[in-house]
Amino acid sequence: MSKEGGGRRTGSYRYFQHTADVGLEAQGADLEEAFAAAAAGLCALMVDPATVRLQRTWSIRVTAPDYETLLVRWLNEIIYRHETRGEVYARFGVSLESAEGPSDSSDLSRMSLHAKVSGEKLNPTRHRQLHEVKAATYHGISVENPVAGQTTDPNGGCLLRVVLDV
Amino acid sequence: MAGWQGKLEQIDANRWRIPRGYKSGMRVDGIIYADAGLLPSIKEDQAPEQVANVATLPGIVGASLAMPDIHWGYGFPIGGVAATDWDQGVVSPGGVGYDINCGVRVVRTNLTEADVRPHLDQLIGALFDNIPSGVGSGGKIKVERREMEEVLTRGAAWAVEKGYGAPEDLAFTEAGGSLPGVDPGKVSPRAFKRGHDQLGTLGSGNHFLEVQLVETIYDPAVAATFGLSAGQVVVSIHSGSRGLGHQVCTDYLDVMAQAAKKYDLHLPDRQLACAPVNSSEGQAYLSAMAAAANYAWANRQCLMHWTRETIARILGSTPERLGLSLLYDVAHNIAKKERHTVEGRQRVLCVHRKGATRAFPAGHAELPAAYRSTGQPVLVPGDMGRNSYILVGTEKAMAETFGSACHGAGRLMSRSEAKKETRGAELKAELERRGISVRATSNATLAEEAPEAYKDVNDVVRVTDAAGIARKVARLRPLAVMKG
Repeated sequence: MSKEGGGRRTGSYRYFQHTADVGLEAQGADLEEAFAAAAAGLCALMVDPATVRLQRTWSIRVTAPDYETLLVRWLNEIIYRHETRGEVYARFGVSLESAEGPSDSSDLSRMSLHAKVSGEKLNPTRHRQLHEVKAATYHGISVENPVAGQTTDPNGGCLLRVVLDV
Repeated sequence: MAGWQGKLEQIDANRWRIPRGYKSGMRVDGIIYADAGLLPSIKEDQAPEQVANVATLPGIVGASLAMPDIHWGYGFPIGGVAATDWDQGVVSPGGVGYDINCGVRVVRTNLTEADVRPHLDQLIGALFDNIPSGVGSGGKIKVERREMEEVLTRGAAWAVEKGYGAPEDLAFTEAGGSLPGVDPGKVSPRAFKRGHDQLGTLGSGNHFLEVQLVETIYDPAVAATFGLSAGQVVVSIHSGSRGLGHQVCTDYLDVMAQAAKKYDLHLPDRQLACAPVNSSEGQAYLSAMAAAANYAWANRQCLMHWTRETIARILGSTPERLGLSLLYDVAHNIAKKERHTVEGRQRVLCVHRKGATRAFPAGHAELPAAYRSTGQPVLVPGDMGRNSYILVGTEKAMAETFGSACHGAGRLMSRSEAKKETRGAELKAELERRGISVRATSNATLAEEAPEAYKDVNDVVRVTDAAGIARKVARLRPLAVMKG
């Protein structure tokens, strides 16, 4: 069930089997594409993306001490905005920045993500709502980045895996 | 993913041990409650590895336990029980889960199938109309910040005071429907926001409301004390703390990730992030968790109130005349401060139940007077096509599982597998051919929750009863099902 991510960039996502929850795997030529594809995969679980019109664009910024936490916070930010503001998205442009220098776990905002997300406000008569996603979890999370010398992606790109509690 | 290939030693017909030496860092054994029939499905995924991972938690006491409905979760297995020392051990939000105080309550009636059968379709339709459910459902109750603080502090008692039910309901709710020690300031503004318009909503996924028939009585004496008899109609409600609880868990996993570094705790899975119970982080989490638990009890109290109103209206009577009284309400995702005897010594423990039900025996001080002579009702919902059970807690549960038993059937198939196997519309037609009325907001959810997606609850209860950690009292079967 591999699908195009639907953004300007061309990452893709697929779901993998997890007994109680939903596994999400996102792939992209670089981390930015992969993070955008992960968001597309999450949003497609909540609302049928074919029913979402690109009427507005919002900015989102999240920070974290490492990429795994950044991925979880990015997805949880989308869940929060969807649930409390009724925003539904179908297009994602992501840029990432990381502070120079060696990893220091005390720097809680070492990684930052800036996103432009496009979509509209939820309209229950037009949007097909699918699942209530409770959260993105840390269980078995992985961020594979060939720049950092590790990836299992056959295309040599970036691969993200995360389990969503549905 | 390949099945689990780890080491398992048989203890007796219903228990298997993952020895402490299986994995580095394990502080205690893992013990899985299963018989030879259930074990193969448990080994199909990575749930046993999660039992071993939980055994590494600092301060864990006895063993890392898994009930017979164990299945693969995130961090903890679902069906997991872990008790940690209150002074020396940790508390882990992953040991409670996102849906804090997800739980079940059962409402008795004095009706028979013959009384409700002619009205069944109308009744489930009216319940569906009157009780908000489904993805993104907003509630009929909107409370502002100050009022919400009352909900979080007082739980079901807040709901009763506002007219959603009667004071006697509280005695028949675990913990009286309210955990103490809540500081609303430990609950983030984001969690308040997510909880704002979801009070009094059933939710979606595996949450449900069912009208059920008492089909079989196994223990007439205990059943009589529980007010149950064969042929009687009851109603089960399964829901939790909604977005508020989900956000509390999300928030505190972040706090715990930092705390684990601060206290130098090394864990095999980030989702097990934890902090000492007696640390500022541990106490803050327990306070916020208690707030979310209280929200869930207020939620189920409101859902029950509308259920009673609706049944009375459709049958042209009153809740009192129809005997619509609460049998019991149990939490199955929670961490509790409890006293247990471990190796002959009384200890204060933090008992995590992640998809497990408290199963306290006769004589326990926390039980309502009415059940003091029998033990507490253990409410075990099954899938919508088969059965549900009412069990009773035992001394053996107290001795072996920190007073815990199973919480349901346990998933067997992922949601996407279930959807491949089943079409929602066909499932609805099949259930209706069997005389079960169904209302659901979406056919897709119905397919994901198909009976085939779950273990047979009859197998889970067979092992629970044979192992002696809860005893069978009554078996129920569905007459009408409402899914969010």
